[in-house]
Amino acid sequence: MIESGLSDLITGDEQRGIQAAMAIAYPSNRCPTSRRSSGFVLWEIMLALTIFSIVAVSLASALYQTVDASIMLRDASQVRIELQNILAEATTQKLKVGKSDVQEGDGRIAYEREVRSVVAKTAKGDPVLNLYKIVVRAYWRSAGQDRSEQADVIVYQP
Amino acid sequence: MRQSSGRGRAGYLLLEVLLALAVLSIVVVMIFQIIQTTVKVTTDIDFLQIQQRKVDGICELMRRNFDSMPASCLFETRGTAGSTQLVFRDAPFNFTWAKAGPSYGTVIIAARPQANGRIALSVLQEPGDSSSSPTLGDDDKKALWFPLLSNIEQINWRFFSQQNGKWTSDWPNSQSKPNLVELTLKLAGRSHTDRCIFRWPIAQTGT
Repeated sequence: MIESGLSDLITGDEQRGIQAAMAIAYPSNRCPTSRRSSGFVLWEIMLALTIFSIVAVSLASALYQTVDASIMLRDASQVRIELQNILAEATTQKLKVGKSDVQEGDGRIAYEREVRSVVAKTAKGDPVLNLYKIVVRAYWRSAGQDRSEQADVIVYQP
Repeated sequence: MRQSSGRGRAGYLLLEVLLALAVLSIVVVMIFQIIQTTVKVTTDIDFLQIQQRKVDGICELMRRNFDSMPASCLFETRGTAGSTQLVFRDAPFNFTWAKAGPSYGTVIIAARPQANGRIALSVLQEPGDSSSSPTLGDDDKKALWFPLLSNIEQINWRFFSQQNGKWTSDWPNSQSKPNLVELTLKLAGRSHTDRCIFRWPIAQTGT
């Protein structure tokens, strides 16, 4: 249209100059001077795909994090109950100073029990014997990180 | 796409419109599926967290119940209709939330059938001492049972005696108390069983 509308007003050199400028301004096949049908250029398609990919990855990531958080909460709750169970059972057993492994659950969480002798004195300064501190630790891996939890209790076992 | 026709009218070809609609449909379906999956997973997680909170709550409640039992309390179990009833006589009413003040009597904890075929862990509290409640847990007291935890598929109690070092499934002797009480239960919709062990404080068991 520019060509036909201005052809009688401008010279041939000026027409060529205008065409060169249009070619720079519209580098793709969407140049209005072209008779070919226009479409989306590669960078437009890639931009759309990139935006869609970012949205999809964000949603998938959010879903993954939700599942991870749920597993972490479940593990923490299970560990808390198991630590209390192990401590309760330990109080009824004959205690020996030292460390030992405890088998609980499906084996995904490792439990360790440590019994220490506690040195305590009465108000008069007399030593109090047969006091033990039971420490139970749990080690497990959740959401790609190593986690641990522990609980302890002091018992008197004459 | 913007190819002009001979009459000077520009527009999209039918093929282009159909292609665009197809691509748009695929993208919309994909996004819808992602959102649907997210909502479903979130709902499932919410359900499991509620179940976990129920288990945590009942374990803590039972633990405090055993911790607060006085030395004068008498304990025994009764087997009725395939389930075990825990009977605490001369026990405080730990499961009372009314503002009536502290009271004591006989407390029964038992698994009772629900209408949907599952089990509800329930409690019955009757005032008075052990000699004044001979008809405990009768069917005419259905309305007095208070459910603590419902929709249980399996429940099991075990009792540990430090004297013989064994776990037993019942405790018929009310003259002594178990050192440990184990509760194993499986809630409906939960993939694994939960196990809680409650310690009866040594000073109160007399062992």
